[in-house]
Amino acid sequence: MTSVIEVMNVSKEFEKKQVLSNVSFKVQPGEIIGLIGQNGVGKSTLIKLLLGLTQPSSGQITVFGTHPTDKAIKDHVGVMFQDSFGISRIKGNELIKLVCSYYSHPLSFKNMVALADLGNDLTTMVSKLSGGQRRKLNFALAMAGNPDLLFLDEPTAGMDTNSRYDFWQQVQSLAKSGKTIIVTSHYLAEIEDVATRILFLKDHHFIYDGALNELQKEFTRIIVEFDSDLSESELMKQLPSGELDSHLQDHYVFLTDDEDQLLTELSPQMARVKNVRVTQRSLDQIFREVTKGVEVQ
Amino acid sequence: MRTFIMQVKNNFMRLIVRNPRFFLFDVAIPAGFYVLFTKVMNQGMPASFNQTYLISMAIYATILSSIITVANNIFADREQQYMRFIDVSPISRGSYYTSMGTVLFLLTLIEVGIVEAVAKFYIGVSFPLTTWLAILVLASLGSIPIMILGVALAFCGSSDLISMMTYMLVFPLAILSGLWWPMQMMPTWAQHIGKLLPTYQTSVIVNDVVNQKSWSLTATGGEVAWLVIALVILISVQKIKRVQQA
Repeated sequence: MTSVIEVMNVSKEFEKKQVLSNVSFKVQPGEIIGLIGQNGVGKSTLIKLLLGLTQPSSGQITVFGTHPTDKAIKDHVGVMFQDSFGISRIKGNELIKLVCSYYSHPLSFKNMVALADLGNDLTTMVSKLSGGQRRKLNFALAMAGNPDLLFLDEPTAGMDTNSRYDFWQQVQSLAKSGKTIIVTSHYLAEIEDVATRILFLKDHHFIYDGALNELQKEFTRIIVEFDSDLSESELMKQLPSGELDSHLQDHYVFLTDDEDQLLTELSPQMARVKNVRVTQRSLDQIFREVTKGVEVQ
Repeated sequence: MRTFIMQVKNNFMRLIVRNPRFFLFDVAIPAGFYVLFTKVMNQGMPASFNQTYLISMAIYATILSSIITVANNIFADREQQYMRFIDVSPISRGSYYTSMGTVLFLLTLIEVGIVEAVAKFYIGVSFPLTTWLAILVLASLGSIPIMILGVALAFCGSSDLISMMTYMLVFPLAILSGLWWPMQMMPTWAQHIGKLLPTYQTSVIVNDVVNQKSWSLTATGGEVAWLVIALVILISVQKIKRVQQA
C-alpha cells in the first residue's frame, strides 16, 4: 500500500536548539494518528514540516509521494491549526465561499454551513465570533476541499463540552469514511477514543509508535481508585502492594501489579471506603507517567 | 479565474466598502487639504495653483493608501494567519498578491477620482476629459513602486514598528517631493533628495502631461528604477522572513 506520509530520518534544529532528532515513520491511508507529547516537544513543528511550512535540517519527507511544499497535493490536504485563522471585515458565510473557491472539488456550501454550525451567526463578521465558534468555522474551512489527509492541531481548544462532543462525532464519521487524520490534543481521553495509532514524542524523538492497546499492555500496572476519609499515611501503611498515584480530597488513586492483593489489603477498611473502581490505565495516565520519566519498553 | 474573482470581490469589500479608516485617511485628508489650501489659505497663489495642487494631493492620496493601507492590511493578514492558510491551500501567494494589488490599484483610482471630483465640482478646475483621465491613470500607476514598498513594510516587525515606519515614510515622501509646499522653499540638499524620490518622478510625469510638455524620459527612468528597487526590497524581505521561520 502506498504511504500517505513518509518521514525518513528527519531532524530539525531551530536557532541551534534541537527540536526533532532522527524521526522516521510512515502513515498509511485511513490511519487516525494521535500525536502526543508535552508542550514544546515538537508536535506543531512536526506538523509544520509535514505541511511544508518549515524545512527539515536533515532527512526527507514526502506527502502523497511528493515534497510537502508541492501545491499539487494541497487540494487533498486540510489543516486546522491550534490558533484560528480569520480575515478582517469578512462575514462567516463569505469566508466559507472564499475558501471553497480555492479547491477544485470543494464541499457544497450547505455541507460547509452544517460543519461550521454557526446558526444565525453565519452572516456575522468572523472577528465578532466567539473563540468556540471560530474553532468550528476553522474546522469547516479545513474540510473545504474534502481532503484525504486532515491535520487537526489542538482542534477542541476553546470549544465547550457539547461542541467538543459534536466535533469528535464528526471526526469519528470522517475516520469511518476512510480519511487519514493526524490529531494532537491536550484532551488525551478524546484522542484515545478516536486514534488507531499513537505517536508519542519525548526528548526530540518518538518513544512509542503503535496501537493504544499495545501501549496499555506495556503499562501492566492496574489502577485502583476509591473514596475514603482515611488519611494518606494510614492507607499507605495498610496497602503495601499499591503505590499512591494521586490524592485529591477524599479520592485516592493507587497503582498496583496485583489488584487482588491490594483489594484484600483494603477489605478490612471497607466500612470507610466507597466507590471502589479497578481500571486499566488511560492514555492520560500513561502520558503523565511517561512524561515523569518512566521508559516505554 | 473563479478563485481570483472571489478574492478580488472579498478584498474589495474588506479593504474599501467596510473600511471607514480608508475614507478618513486615504480620501478625506487629501481632499480636505486640497479644499483648505485652494479655498481658505489661497492668498497670493497664482491661478495655476489649483491645478498643480490637485496633482500634488492626488499623489499624496496614493501615498497614504499605498503605504498605510497596504502595510496595515497585509500585516493584519499575516497576524490573523491568513497568509499561512494560503501557504497550505492550493492557491499561491502570487495569486493573493495579485488580487490584493488589483483592489489596491482600484483604491488609488477611487482616491484620485474623488480628489479630481472635488477639484472639478467644488473648486472649479477645468480640464479636457483626456487630461482628467491622464491624471487618474498616471498618478495611480506611479503609486505601484510605493505600494510594493508598503507590502515589504508589512513583513518588517511588530504592529507598533510598522505603524511608526509607515509614518516615517509617508511624511518625508510627501514633504521632500514637494507635494505639501513647493520644493523651492526647501534647502538645496533637501531638494536633491526630493528629486530622487518616486513621488517626485510621478509628479513630474503628471505635471508634464497636464501642461502638454514632452514626456520626461528621466522621470520615467526614475520610476522604473524605483519599481526595480521596490521589488528587490520586497523579495529580500520575504526571503529573510522565510529563513527566520524555517
